[in-house]
Amino acid sequence: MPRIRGMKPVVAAAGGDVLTETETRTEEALDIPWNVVVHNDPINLMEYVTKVFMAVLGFSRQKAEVHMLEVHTKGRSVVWTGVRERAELFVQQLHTYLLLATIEKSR
Amino acid sequence: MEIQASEKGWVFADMEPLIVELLRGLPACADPDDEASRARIFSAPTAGDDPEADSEWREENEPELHELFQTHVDVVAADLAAIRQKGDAFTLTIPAANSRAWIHTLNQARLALGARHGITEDDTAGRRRHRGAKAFAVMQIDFYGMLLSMLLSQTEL
Repeated sequence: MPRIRGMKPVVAAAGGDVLTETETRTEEALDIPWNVVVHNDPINLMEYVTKVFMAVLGFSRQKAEVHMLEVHTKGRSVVWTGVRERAELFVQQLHTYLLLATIEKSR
Repeated sequence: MEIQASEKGWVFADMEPLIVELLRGLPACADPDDEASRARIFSAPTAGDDPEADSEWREENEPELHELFQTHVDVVAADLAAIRQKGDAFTLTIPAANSRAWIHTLNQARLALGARHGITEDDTAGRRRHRGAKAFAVMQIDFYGMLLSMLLSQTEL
């Protein structure tokens, strides 16, 4: 599982006692949805990218092909938008298939 | 080369020595042993927009990914070590259960080669010609891509 910045457990010493706290996400991080973006590269096969989208994101073949073509022709495609934790998980899964995937704040 | 596909997997028979050499080079090609291929194989989640997040991500995820990818390469290396030879003809068997490891390793090798040699779409589309190491890398990428397409046609990820 990816570690989410701002949510990692921290250990703080207070009055000699060791306390375990959880940092809270900022209001901004909670409010702003995050995009999972897949970027073009000159090597990955179109059929491979299509099958990865189907396997990781649960896309139908038709939807997977639309996003694959968008990556190919426009250089990038937003394949998912939502809460950061899930977006990071998708990016991690896409990385296991060696796609160029990044996370960014939705504008 | 004669290719037989069945539910049990693939058999590549009557392979010539050159083909076998290209196949045996697959694990080495997939190894991200230089900065460019390492950056491509273990790509960053913000692509440098947030260096701290990228660094944290690498620290957290790269060892796990490295282990996963090496597992795939090890499966492929074992199949390659089991290539049978009869005279000048070689036979490779890829069990169906190993197809995902092969798909991953073929893809990883192509990406690592591409990063290592600075391959662009003009190169893979044949719009630019090269000599030497880069030309050989493009040929390897094409050959591994042909095998990858064939395995993908009969495998769900």
